[in-house]
Amino acid sequence: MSAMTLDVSGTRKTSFWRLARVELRKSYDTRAGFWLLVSIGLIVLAAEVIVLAVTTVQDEPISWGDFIGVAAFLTSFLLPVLGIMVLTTEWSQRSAMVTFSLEPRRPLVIAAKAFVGVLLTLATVAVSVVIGLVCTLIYGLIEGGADWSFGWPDMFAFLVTQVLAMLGGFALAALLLNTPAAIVAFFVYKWVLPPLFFAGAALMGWFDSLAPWIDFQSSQEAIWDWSSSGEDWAQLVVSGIIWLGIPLAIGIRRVLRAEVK
Amino acid sequence: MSATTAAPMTLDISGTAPTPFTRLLRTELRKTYDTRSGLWLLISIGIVTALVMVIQVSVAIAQDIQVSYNDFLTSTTFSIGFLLPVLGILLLTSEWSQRTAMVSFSLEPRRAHVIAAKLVVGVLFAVAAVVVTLLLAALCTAAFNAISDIPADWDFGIKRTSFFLLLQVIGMLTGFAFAALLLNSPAAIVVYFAYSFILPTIFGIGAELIGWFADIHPWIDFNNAQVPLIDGSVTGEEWAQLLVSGVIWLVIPLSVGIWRVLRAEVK
Repeated sequence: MSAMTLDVSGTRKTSFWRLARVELRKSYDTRAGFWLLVSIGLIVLAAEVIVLAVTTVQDEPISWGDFIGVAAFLTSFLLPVLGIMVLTTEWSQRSAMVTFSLEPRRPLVIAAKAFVGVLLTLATVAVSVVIGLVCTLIYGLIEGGADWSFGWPDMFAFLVTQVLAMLGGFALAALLLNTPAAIVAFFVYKWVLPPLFFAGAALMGWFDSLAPWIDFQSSQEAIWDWSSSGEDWAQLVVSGIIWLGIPLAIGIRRVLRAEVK
Repeated sequence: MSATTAAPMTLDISGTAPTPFTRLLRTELRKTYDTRSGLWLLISIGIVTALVMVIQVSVAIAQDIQVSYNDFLTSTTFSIGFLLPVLGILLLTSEWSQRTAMVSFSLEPRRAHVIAAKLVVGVLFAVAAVVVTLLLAALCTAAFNAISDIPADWDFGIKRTSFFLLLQVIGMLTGFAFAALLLNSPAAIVVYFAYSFILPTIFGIGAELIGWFADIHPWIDFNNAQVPLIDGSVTGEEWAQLLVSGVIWLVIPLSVGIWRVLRAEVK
């Protein structure tokens, strides 16, 4: 009897869309993934309701843009966690073996994961805008007039900063391939680094002029302000390369060569 | 091939002494450093602590800024203050994420003892971290004194040292409590950081806007209640606020969490 062969030369390659669909499903069909997504929605909703209740009771003025600002504050640390877990669960749940056996072209798998991260970010932004809309509507009904100031530049800034935040988490996850380590590293970057940058800039002259070029979080202000200064955008690009480009490049290289256990 | 049915085997352990607590303690202590991730967590805590202080002392020397022994300890907010709670979380949750709970609770079914051993190990590490930190701060202050023209300020006492120790133990225990409540590393870490970085902001805004909230705020904000410990002087009312907010954020989550661990199905 001759050796059996499995001829796959006529089989078509797995399309990117199928990978994207698979990765999308993976993000919500486990209990942990499902509850992460539900938590993001519930936290945003709860915060908006509290803000709405406080502002109506205290007769404080508030606009649609303010509601979205509250949502943006919360999702700016929840979406990176999502970006981290999209990638690291593959290692912590040991499903990487199956994933990379069925699709050995790892760059496509990683691209599909990043794509799903972006899709979920867009969905979160859409949900936040709608929740903000409803809250503003209720505020308007109770207070007899609502402030609808929220323009397309704000919408654009909201979207871009959230996508950058998610990708920041994704990059750290690729670099560390370990959920707790990536989450801790992300929070250090998010909350510990800014005061250190601030203190450093206040104390040292040379650091003060260097800081805008390496502080990715404050350079993102340019997106919100729709800055007209070319220097602001250059600082965004330079700090973005440091905090997003380099970790992502090293991390992806690592995933492509990592031994899957 | 057995034609005859043997009498059912029994394992008589009635004469075996129950596992002593010290053995559990030794086991839990070993578990913290004999895996790669555990070892690197401990090494990272040490490296980050040293790094923060070295940066601090070099900036102070280069810029001729007066620093005190106390300043070096305050900067640990960015090192052990941040990482000890993570240690407290992983002590407990790794048992679930690595699925070793099955073995641990089979070998020692008195789960309360296992949890107590983990808790003691956590406290031991907090104490060890404080000792290392005090030594590092002394080194940095001495280095500053030797190199800089400005004399270093060594002012620190037994009282402040014990406050510092208390702070770090509280931090570790808060992480441990959230871990017991959630039994999931990522969830516990995210919730802990939300509690320590986002909640104070929200509480602050709430107190600003709402009058009655400003009155209860000091009694429910555990982070804020710990500030007098950092400053080194605590009044009677501040002790009471620390106690009340501590019950809310430490005792209740820890009790509910331990109750949950005692009854959790181990998979």
